[in-house]
Amino acid sequence: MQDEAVIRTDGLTKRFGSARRNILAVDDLNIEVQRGSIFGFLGPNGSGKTTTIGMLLGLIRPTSGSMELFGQDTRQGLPPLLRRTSAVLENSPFYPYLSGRDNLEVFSRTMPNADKNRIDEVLKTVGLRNRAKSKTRTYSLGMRQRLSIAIALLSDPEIIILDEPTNGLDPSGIIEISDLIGELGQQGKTIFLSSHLLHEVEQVCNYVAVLNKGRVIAQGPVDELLHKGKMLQVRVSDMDAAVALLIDAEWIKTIETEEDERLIFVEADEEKFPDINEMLVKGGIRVLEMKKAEDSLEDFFLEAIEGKEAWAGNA
Amino acid sequence: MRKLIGVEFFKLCKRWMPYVLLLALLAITLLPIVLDYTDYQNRYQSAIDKYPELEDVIKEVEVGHGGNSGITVYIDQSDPQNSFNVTPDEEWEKEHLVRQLSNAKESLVLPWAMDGIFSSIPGLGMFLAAFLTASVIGAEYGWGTLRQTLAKGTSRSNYLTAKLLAISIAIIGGVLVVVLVGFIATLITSMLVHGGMEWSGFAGHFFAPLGRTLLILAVYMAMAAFFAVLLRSSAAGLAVVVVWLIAETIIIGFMGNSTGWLAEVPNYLIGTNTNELLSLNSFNPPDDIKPWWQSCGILLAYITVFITAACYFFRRQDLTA
Repeated sequence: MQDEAVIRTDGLTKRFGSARRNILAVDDLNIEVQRGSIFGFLGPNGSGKTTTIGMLLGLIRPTSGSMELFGQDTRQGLPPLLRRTSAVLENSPFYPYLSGRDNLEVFSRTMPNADKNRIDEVLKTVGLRNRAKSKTRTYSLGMRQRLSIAIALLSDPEIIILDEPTNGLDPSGIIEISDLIGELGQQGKTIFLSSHLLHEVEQVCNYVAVLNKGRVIAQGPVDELLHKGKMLQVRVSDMDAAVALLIDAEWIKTIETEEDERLIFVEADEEKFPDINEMLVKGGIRVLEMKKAEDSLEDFFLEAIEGKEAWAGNA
Repeated sequence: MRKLIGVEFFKLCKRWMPYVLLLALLAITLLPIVLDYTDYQNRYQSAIDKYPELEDVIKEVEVGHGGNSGITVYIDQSDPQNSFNVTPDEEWEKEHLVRQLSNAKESLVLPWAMDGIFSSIPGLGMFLAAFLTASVIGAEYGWGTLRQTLAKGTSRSNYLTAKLLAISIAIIGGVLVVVLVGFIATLITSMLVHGGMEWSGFAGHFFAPLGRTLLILAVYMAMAAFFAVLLRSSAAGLAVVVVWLIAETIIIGFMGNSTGWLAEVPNYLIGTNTNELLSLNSFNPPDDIKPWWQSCGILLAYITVFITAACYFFRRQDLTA
């Protein structure tokens, strides 16, 4: 991943409605998406994800704040910057009276850097070659989503913005799309994935921002957010003695306990995990169980939106 | 821009709606010609059944003098061929029949028949132009394809301009097709009832009415574009156009009878000015209408306001899912 922010927002705010009666859809949003990352934009329905994407794509005017794409302020002229991006919008909008191929033809003509000769190739990539001549009104939701991705791929974009790309798909469809997103990420494209599906973000993304009620309540690398590889869960014979023993070690960052289960959760660098075991054994404490503790994004997300999680660090 | 207009045409050509509208306009234009021809044939047949000697007179009768007032009926009593023995009543009836047939002939013989074509087109055409425009613009909101297109880096100004140009070209093309078909139809009727068409004054019966027709359609196109953009819907856009038309009719009815500046208001309404231009397209334009350029100026002002407002709102509006 190169250290270059391709998307940056600064105090981005959007209010809908009149001055008196308005809805705050996005509130002082500050995010930064690095080139080559797969950025998860996670939040429950109505949290402001689609509005944020709308602002990034110039479909919605921000009330205040600014945005940068590829390091350039979007107020200086968004269309040329958008030509370097592609978006898969929620509900996959198409011309229902046109075939899949004709839809690709139409959108390829509106994209200056799209290659019409790639229509067959992208249809094959998304598995729609056999239905290319069918009218899109006959397409299932999954097919529409795949066609949407095909359109996004026509122009070989640097950033691909996906708004709920697996919404309404069956499990195999979700896996297909997730795999496709992973492949695109491996090709070095920057992916901005908006989703309310926690496992999708957890599986695919390497960086995540959690949005609730228009505000970013947490953001950072997924591993860091979930303490992946940094928490050790240890069941011991004497919990208090174990804590007293470990608390003086400078390289241990945090210790949490769960008395009922006689569990301690120790946060430290992964290479120090054997040392923890050694310290406990040498201190005469019996280690009954020891394993890496990994929060699921679901746990983190629920804690975060309920306000129990105070962490909101930046990577 | 050319590419965008091409895309708009591609989309337009793939829809069935423009063809249905074109067929409707063709039908509404050709139907009067067919009916007029049938009526003429019936009258002609019954006239010569009753007075066989009128056959040559009817064939030779001049047309194109603006209805009854200018009709010249030659029944030369000194001509031995026409010196039939008639009673005054018969004389009158013959002349009346010839006059009627002459009038009927006027709508079937070119170039005067073009007046009929150009009177038919704007009447339905303005609704069809509004329908086409509202549908083409409004549907993009409904389908969400507008968001998809703009998200790909097409500027809003270019997008709306391309759309309006494509619709304009489609409307002009549609009108020309209808005029061409109408021309062919009336060329046939000219041959059938008059033995051919008259070329003198053809340009006057073609270019000015075509210009007036297109201007009338452009006003309703601009109005529909504005309301479709403002209300983000085909149906709502078209509904407002219809409500506008009804409201104008009511306003004209009320204010036409008032005095002072209120009485002047109808002169600046779309309906009044389109009607005035429309009346110039008819066989017998009234004498008491204001100069054509005044009506044109007012309608052009409306077009400018509607298009400017449509662009303004389109550039500023939030396109939510």
